[in-house]
Amino acid sequence: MVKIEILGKYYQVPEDLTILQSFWYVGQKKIRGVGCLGGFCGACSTVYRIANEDYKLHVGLACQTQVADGMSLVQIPFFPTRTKTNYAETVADNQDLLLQVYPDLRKCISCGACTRVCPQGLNVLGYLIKAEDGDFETSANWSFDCINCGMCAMKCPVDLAPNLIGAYVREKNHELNHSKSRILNQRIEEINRGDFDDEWNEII
Amino acid sequence: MSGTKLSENIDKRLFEVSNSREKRLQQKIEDADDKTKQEVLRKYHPDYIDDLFTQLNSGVNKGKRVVKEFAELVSSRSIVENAKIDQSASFDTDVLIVGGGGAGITAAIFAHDAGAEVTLVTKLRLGDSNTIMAQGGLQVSIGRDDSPIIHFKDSMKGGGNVNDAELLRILVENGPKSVAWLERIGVILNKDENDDFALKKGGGASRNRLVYAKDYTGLEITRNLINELTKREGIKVIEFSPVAELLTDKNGNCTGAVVIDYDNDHFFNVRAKTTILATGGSGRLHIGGFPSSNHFGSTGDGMVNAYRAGAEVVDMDSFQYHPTGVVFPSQMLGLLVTEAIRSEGGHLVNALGERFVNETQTRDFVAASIIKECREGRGIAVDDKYTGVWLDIPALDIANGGDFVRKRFPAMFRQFKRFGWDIRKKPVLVFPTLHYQNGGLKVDRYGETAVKNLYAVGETVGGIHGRNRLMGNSLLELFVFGEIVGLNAAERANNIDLGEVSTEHLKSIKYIKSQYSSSPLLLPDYIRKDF
Repeated sequence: MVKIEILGKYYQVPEDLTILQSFWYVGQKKIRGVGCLGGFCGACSTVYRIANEDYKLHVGLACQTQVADGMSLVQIPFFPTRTKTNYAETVADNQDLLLQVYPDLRKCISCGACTRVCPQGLNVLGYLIKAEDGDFETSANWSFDCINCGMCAMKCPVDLAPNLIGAYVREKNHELNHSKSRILNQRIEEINRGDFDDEWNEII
Repeated sequence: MSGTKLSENIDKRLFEVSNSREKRLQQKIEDADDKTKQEVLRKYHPDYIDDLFTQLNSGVNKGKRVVKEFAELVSSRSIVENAKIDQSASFDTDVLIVGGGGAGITAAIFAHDAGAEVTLVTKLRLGDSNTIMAQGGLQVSIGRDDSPIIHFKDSMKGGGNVNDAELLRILVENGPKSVAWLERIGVILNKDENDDFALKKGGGASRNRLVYAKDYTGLEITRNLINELTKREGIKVIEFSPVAELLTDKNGNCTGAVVIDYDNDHFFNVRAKTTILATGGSGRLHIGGFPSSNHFGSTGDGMVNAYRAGAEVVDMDSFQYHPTGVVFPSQMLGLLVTEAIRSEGGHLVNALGERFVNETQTRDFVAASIIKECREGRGIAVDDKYTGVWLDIPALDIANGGDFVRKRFPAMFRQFKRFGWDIRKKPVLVFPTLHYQNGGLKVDRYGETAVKNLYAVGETVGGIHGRNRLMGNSLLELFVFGEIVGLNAAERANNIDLGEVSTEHLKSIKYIKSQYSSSPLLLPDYIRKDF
């Protein structure tokens, strides 16, 4: 058994539980702060410290993090962020485009708090810098595994929402730098033309 | 098993797997013949274990064989009984969509674009669903050696030839169009060296037909769908608000739903011209006591609501047990190891260090084969409760070279790493986990149920997949039928008026003694009882 603290109350729980299972173990009902139970949805972001161990604040997904002795925790299932407001449809290059939609990106001080907090282990500062440099392809690849838990936005000292900036860059990169599938469109044309109708008539 | 715990003995067991790897990589296992397949299924697949089933005691399908949990929920006291409706929170809309997963969001987008006023209510957050967890991909017949016909035949064969042929044809014919729509709204799918979609083979498929986004296919799709929905300012989204019951008029037509606001426990009515159920499956009912890979909200509530309002169900005695649910490491119990691991060459290995089945056959047969190995003493016991067989993931890096596992399956690599297990070097123990509801509500080609003005889409619908769904067909279904249902519900709504609302249809329920204190079950209860 280990001793954990949930919102100021202390409990003894078996050490092999995940944080989420520990809520149920102590008798708490979960509606917010629980989701897919598999580490994909970002609903169960949890902030914790380990007493007497280190000075650091840790972040983990409650469904994917094992409890530890001395853990003091709180969940942050929702965090207010600002999404893009104005769309610029035609701008000369990527940098201009990005800074028009997210002008606050200029405020980034490259402290790396976002990278350190990311429960997915992403190079968050890296993908912001790549985006600012106009290298949307690399930026989009580096942010691809983001589960949008919003913990980077919570930690950012200049109030950016890196998760949303990453999403915007992926969307734009797809639009600007990716060709559409040719085999897909070829098949759609064949279906629309009725190329398979004879075969369908035979089997149905 | 003797008293030794697996964790004390693990290095020796791991050696047994790595020791036989070289030999296994050279080995080719033929598909089992139909006779063997039937024998193994009948003896070991949970769909054939009579104890798990009973008959419906009332309603349109009275007497039909269904899983016990569903039958009990249908005949348990409704959660709206004696509920007071908060009139100040009640409102009217054209199209009410219940559920915020892939099917619900797609339907909302298309209904809105067809000119209807749309409201979407969902139990948890927008996007919280099994869709977001989908790792494998979508089946779409775009290879030059492939066609919608071959896709149709594979799916029929996999489903035991009992699939609804009309719905299945719609699925395979519209698949490419739906994937093109996903591509258009920004979904990034893996490309090959020709800069076109990379295609992989799923279990039971005769061609390479799976398109995918690493092992985050569902996540990539869901976040783009949410983005697309958010761009449309007119769609009203209400989170943390599950439906308690449907509303009907005196002709039995659906006229909306009673909704619960989870933040104040108030009930309110949403009066709607048409209603779309996109409430997903029921893995969290833990049919037969199996662990489940499903999202926390998958409790079959939409189906219970619809059946009580007069909708028909099909194949509610057929579930998909995904062959490879984790049993060790234990913190990941029930979680899925994607089928793509097996289609890329991952081996299933018993306690003798031997493969025992061609891993790329249909899920029902592979699952039954794993259960067979464990029952016949060739499994590896984790503890008193769980036994499994090895899934040899490290074999993939050897077969494919380089850092294949980490690059191709980053989500899964991360999941295991969080619990100190490096799947590049170590195999994991698996046993079938409750994964998908093959059956569900019966709908016509427009997605409408037997209850007029009530539509359904996604896992909550049955028929398309017969009695065994092929990997990648369910994800595709969400977008093909999400569009169809959204457009049809909007068109109907444009031509009719709002109706009167009542829950009179609940009077036909015959209550039975039940493990459920009220129905439908909105969330599973995992709170410890043995204080």
